[in-house]
Amino acid sequence: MHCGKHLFQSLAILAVVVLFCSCAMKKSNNDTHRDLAAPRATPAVSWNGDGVDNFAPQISSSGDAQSLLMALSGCDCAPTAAAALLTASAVKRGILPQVFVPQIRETITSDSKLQILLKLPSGLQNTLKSWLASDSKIASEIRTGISGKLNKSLGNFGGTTLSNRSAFRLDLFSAFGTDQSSFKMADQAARWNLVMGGRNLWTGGAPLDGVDHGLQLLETMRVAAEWAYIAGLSGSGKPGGFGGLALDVRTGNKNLVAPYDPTTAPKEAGLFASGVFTISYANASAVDMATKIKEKWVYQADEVTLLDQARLWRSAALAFRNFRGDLSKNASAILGVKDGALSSAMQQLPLLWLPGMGQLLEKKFINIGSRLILKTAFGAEAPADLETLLTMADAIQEWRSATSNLATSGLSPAVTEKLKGVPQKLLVPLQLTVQSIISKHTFVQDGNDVKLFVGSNGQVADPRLSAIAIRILGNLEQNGLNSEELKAKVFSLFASHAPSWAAQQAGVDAPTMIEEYRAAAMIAKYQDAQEWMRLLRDKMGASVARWGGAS
Amino acid sequence: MKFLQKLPIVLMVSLGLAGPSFAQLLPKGVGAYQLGYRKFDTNAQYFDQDGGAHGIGDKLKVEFSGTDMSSGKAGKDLKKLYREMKKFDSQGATKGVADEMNFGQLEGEATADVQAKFIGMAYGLTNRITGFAGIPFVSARVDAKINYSGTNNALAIKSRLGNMIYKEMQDGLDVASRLSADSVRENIEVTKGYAPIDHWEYNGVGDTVLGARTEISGDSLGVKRLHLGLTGQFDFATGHADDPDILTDIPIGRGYHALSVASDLKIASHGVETGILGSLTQGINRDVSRRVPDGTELLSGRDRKATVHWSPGQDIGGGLYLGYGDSLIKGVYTVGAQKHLQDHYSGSLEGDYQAMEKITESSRAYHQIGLSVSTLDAYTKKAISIPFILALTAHDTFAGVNSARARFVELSITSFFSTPAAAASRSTTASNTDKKTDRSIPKRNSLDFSAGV
Repeated sequence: MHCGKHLFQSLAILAVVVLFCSCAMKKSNNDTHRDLAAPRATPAVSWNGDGVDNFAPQISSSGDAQSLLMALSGCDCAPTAAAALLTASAVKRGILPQVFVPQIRETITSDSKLQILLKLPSGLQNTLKSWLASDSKIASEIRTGISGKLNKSLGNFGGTTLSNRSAFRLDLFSAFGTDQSSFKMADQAARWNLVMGGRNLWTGGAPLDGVDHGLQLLETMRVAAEWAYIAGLSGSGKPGGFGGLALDVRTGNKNLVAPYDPTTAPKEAGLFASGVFTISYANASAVDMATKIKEKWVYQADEVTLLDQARLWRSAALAFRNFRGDLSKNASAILGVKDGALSSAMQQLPLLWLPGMGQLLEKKFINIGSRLILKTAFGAEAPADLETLLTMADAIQEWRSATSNLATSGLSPAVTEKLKGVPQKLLVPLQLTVQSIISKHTFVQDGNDVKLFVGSNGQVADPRLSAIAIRILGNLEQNGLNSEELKAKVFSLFASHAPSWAAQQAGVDAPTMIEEYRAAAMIAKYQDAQEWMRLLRDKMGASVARWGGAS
Repeated sequence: MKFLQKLPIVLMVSLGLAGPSFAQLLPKGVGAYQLGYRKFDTNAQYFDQDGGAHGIGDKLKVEFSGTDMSSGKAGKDLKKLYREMKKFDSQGATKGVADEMNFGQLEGEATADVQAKFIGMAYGLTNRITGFAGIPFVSARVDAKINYSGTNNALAIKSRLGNMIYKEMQDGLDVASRLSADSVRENIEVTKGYAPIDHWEYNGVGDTVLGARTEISGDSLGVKRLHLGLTGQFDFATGHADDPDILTDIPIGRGYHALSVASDLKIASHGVETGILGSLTQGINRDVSRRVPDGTELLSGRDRKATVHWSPGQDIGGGLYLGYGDSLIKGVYTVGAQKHLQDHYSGSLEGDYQAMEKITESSRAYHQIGLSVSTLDAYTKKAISIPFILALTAHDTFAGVNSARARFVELSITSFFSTPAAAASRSTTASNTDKKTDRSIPKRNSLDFSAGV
């Protein structure tokens, strides 16, 4: 027991959990495997008509989980739904068991008492292991260690501390379906958006579940650990021996690349993540798994879609914003506390994805000659669809916002200098995206309405897509593009949709309902829309009251 | 902004002055000299590619909006700005931002004062062949002025679009907001490197002509009162040719040497004379300096100047005339048409040579009326001591494509002199045929150095 206690006291190192561990295990091979078929039923949530703030999800076995996660990301609404999804992530088993998480594995393998234990004869070793380091004890100690780190961070900014929660785990890569051995990177990217999109932890808002911020901080830790694992980064920021599930723009999406070394990576290197990954490993005790077993990943290439990549980029941008002390009130307290859940070095982790974003945009997703934004990289040239363009615009805007005014960010001068031109550089692809949205997915006068078409074939965008367009274009307009022309289009679009939205009752799918709420909230931010919103509410009655922000 | 086109008056004088010819056969040893003066209408017009007649100033008119911007007439930069702006318009939108752009308009005023004096000489080499030569002296003056007017909504549109549009477009709208007559002129003269457009003048020679004419009498063919004239002439490109660095100059000559053949068939009876005219001219290829358009702008910059190989197209002409009069006074009405086939250009500099060639294909239809007074008969009868023909002609181009509307009046006087060779010839002829007269001069006929077909 002493050994186990000492071992898990060492989990305090988890504070610097992601970047500052040294790992011995070599990366698993990257053989492709064509037999991998991982049909996964995705959880879906439907709206019960109680209004967005009291939204209690009913998770079913089918539906579009990604749309829901993206709708909730940065929503500042539906906290019940967000908390439920984060809780599911916290307690469910992930694809990579927590003993394989490099930081935990490293802590276990480097424990001196455990080293002695492992040197004992096998019979005695097994007996002592089952007594001192049983699977349940290790799981419990992991939980205790993590809780300690979370509490340190939470306590440091005066927030509530982690309550006595039911079991949670630090497995990586949540299983979105029943298959417990494989995950799709695109699903993870959507979840990362939900985690990083929550601002209340960073700005001091009320906890999502009304209890404490531990849940959000835990999930933030998990995402950070996942990013580091994908890149194969060690604690020092150098490539380590674990993980390595990333791809490089230079070599395409057929094979995984060697662990990424951001300090020596050539300028043209560009990390990205895509595909389906299936894990296999020998079942053994937790100690043996941590010390002796190597997980094996089979990578199956998938279409590298701009939609998925934009979601990934967006989550990274949100993280970078969250970690900036000048933009997030609690960031310094969370990242700065010794032996806390996250370290100050974490601030740079989201930058991992930035070069890949630049390379993919420049070389794969934008045909510069024809100025066509493409739906996929490494495939046939097909124009990106409306949702993809909107998500791309959102991701770029989040990066522009997150990398603006870096003088007060607390980043080193060298990093600040490197990032100095990012907002301006990203402005051009942002403008091209907006241009593509407007010209290829048109706002067309249809009788008294202005409708958003998904293309030139006369197909009108569905309400969810229209709502996303209003929210994202409105945000762009308010935070950088400052365009009366764009504003007029957004207003017109909203005006043509608002009456039908306001009249909606239960039965609308949750992503659509949330996006409609967010669209209305965006419109309500316009000072000159206040009167309009008031009139609308008077006209529509209580059904429009769920649109927060309108007074 | 690059909007101006080469002034259309480039063709205005060339048609008339390029080929003075001598439509008269002189007896052997008899010479003739001719002095003439031609004055062009200062209110000059041109025919566009659709045949519409416009004042020269209209050619300078540019609407910095809609059609002129999309077509490129308003310049490469504005065409690009329009094209880019159009991409921000929604499909199906009846009128988007691109078509709302209106940066005012430019109007031009241009007057051309062109006068020509010409001197010609002819000499009867034999009784069947008359050689002739002629040279025009031209005084040309062009005054041009551009005026900018209208409202300019560039800044309003820039403000409305904000950062939604690219920086280059925002910069373009800034530039467009500063459009003025001065900025246009500066662009032409400084950026593009053209000579000042306000004023251009030239005083010098036009193309020099050297040729010969023969006639076959219908009598010899068994058809009385019929005359078939054949003229061959060579035009030396001595006149001012198009200068690629001057926008408002007038090419006084063709710009290339050319060989022409012309024929006229006349029949006369009881004071009435009628006939048909035809001509064919072939230019000689040469290398010239030109600004080669790159396909994106109407007015090419100095960097587009290059030596190009020029293969002129043929000139084909035809006409009818009808005259009536006696030996003293005669009136002639002529109607005719000319067509210049497309020139061809080639060169090492990549560019839109087709655009250069396209505007060289031109045609025009004209008519003219002339009145002449001749003392030849009186001189033959020794009633007057000096033989001369005084002619007054009014010329108008009533239709055309890609050509100037040449309108002028001309006054010429032709007189004759005799040489010892004429005396020798006359004595031989007189002893054989006609001993009634001792003065040998041509019969009254159309005598003109200045206006061939």
